[in-house]
Amino acid sequence: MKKIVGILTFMLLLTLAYFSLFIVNESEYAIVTQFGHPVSIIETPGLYLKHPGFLQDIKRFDKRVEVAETQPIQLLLKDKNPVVLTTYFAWKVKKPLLFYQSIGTIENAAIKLNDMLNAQMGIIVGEYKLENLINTNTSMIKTAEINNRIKELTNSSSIENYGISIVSFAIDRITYPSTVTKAVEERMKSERQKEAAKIRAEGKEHADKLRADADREAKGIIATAEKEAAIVRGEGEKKALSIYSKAYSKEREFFDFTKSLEAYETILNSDTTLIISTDSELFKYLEKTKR
Amino acid sequence: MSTKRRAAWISVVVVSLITITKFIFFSLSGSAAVLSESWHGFSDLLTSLFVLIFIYRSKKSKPLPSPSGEESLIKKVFRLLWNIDSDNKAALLISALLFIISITIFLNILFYPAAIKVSFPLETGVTFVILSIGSYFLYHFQSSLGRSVKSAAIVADGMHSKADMVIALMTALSLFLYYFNINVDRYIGLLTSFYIFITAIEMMINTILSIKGDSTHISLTNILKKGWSYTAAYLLKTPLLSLWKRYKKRLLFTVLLSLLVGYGSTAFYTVDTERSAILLRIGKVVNKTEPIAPGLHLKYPWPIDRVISYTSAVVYSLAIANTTQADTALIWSVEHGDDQYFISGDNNFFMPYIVVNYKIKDVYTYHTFNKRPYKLLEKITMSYITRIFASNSFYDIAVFQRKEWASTAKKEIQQRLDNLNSGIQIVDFILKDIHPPVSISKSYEAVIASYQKQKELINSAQKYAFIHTSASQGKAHAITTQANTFALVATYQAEGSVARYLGKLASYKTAPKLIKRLLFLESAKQSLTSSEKIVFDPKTGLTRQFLYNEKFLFKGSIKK
Repeated sequence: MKKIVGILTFMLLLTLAYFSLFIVNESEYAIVTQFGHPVSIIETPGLYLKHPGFLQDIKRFDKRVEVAETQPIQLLLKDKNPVVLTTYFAWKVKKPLLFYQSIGTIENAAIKLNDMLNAQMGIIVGEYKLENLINTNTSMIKTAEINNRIKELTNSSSIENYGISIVSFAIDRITYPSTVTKAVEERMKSERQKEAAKIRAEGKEHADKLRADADREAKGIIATAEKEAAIVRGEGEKKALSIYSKAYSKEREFFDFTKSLEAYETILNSDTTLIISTDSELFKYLEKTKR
Repeated sequence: MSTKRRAAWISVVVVSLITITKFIFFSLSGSAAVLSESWHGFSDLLTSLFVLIFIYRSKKSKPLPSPSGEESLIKKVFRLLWNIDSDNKAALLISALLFIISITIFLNILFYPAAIKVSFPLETGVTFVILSIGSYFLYHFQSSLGRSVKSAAIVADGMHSKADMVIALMTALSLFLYYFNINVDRYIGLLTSFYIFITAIEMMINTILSIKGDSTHISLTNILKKGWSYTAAYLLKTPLLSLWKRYKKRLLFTVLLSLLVGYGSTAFYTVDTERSAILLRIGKVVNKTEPIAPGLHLKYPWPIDRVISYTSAVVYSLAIANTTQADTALIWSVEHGDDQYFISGDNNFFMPYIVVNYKIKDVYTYHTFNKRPYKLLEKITMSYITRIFASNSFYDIAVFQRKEWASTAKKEIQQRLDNLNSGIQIVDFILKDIHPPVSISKSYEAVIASYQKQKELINSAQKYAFIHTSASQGKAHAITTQANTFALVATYQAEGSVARYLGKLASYKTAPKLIKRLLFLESAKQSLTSSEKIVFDPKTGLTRQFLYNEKFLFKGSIKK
């Protein structure tokens, strides 16, 4: 009997310990409630004691950062351009008791934050133009500024009212509504066609320029060569004449005589018909022989 | 106060307490089984109240006399019922009530929708065990008292308490099993309703027998018990149970030892080759800076230490944006992926397909600071590429700066992940594919084709230029060479001519007339050799004019 009582007492103590002791991990907060009334908030990990069983209950909340994304929302920008934005937000519980009382669950918190962020986006994004979201000029891009403003504004309310804080927030996707999408696609097509035509035209222009340049260069080369050739010829003739003048200026009459003879040799060819009288100087000795 | 009344009052008070407790536990647990039990408790309370009322009324009511004439059936039944003594009336009512309750619970369970979530199953189960002990004591008290004062109602109520005890135990068992994720609510509920049904029938039969003056007591529960006993007796004959009887102590010792060894084994743990682990001692991480390496390790047994391990050596892949199956060709004009388009800085749509390879670099950080670090990586990457794409032209992203921005992306995303204590290390950031929407792909291809056409035109022009320029240069060279040759020839000719002339002049100076004549005659010979000559004698009367005319005006009349 004593044994049974001992075992039963031991088992009772074990059961009591099981229902009274609890461990809080490093990655979580714990709130001890007594019939719904919070009696203590535990933020540091360790072993803790509570009233057994249902007398006190423990609510555990993750201390870690949770990630979620907002539902896509269509917004009108300052320049009347419509965009569809999706964002992500990383958040964590900052004030566990307030979180427990005001929201209670992770799922509800994500829904609440989604609503708050979308509301803030509607206000803040409307102050910016499309060029502040999409632009090759990076100095015009204001995405980081928009993200920060939305995060700060939402945090100012979410921490105070719900005990949750957003640690990171950013625009995750930027798209257009379907009608705009189709228009953009058509515009893209026409742009590409224009670009293709321009590229071909530029190619032709370049090619024509190259041909013209080649023609010009070719003609220039020949003209230059001809010019140089004329100069060279002139120089040659000049030099020849100089040689001639130097030599021939020494005996004028003899020069005339020899040159005349050379000229005769050149002029008188097979096509020339000479009518020569027998009493000419050439036939002087022929006449004398007759006599 | 009489013993009967006191017993009835005790029953009412105890059952009230039990019923209230059951309702409280229903509000805490939300269990459908507990709710049924609570209403069952409420009906028990009503039963106890009936017993109390009939005990009070037993001395006040007078029996209805039998009519002298003919009596209608309804009146007869009413008179007979009225004349039954209070105890039996109460017993009949209780049995009828239990009968209705059992049928109601049975039908409810049979047609009850899917099981609902139960809170505090363990605590509620323990409470029901305690309640069943209460019911057991009540059953003992009522049974012994009912037999001593010979009250059928109190005995019946005692039987009812016994049934309650069994039901409470069954409910407790169901809750304990629920705690271990075994949901047998429905079956336990059916058994419960069956037990109540048997109790009700048993009470009804015994009460009717009592009204008839028959003291026989029929116990259906005993019959069931006997059935079980026979089955157990049969089983005891089997060799297995005889073995059990023989080695009971040793077997118990073995079981106990096994339990101890089992518990002791929770002090050992292994970490696999590809994993790293952290050790939590009563919730606190012991090894924050250095993860536990693969191998066999020792720790405090459950529940003091807890090991959490992650596959830190494995490189995971995260596909982002226009993810496409591995066996699909990544061709612009063929639909692939989920067609999520992005917008470039020059307002063009395109579909990127990015693969981020990553691994866990710090197990402690990975486990402690983010609930889903891989999700964080996905979202940070998406937001980063959205921003980068929105600030660069399509061709810069897809072609010209593809390598540069992919490399920058890896660094910047890693920086953000580190800022948020993700514990993740990006191994590769791969831009696997990037293409315009399929509907526009042909236009893009036309642009690329135009670039090729442009190059073709330019190449053709360059060929023309090359040929023409080269030809011109050749021609120019020929012209220049000819000119040079001409100049050279002219000079040489001049020099030769002058040298010849000077030679002649030197001779001429020695004998001018002779040389002159010689030269003349030499020249005449040269000149006149090839030419046609007409020699005439002026003495004949012929003149030069005549011969000229003859030669050129009247061709060939002159005879050579």
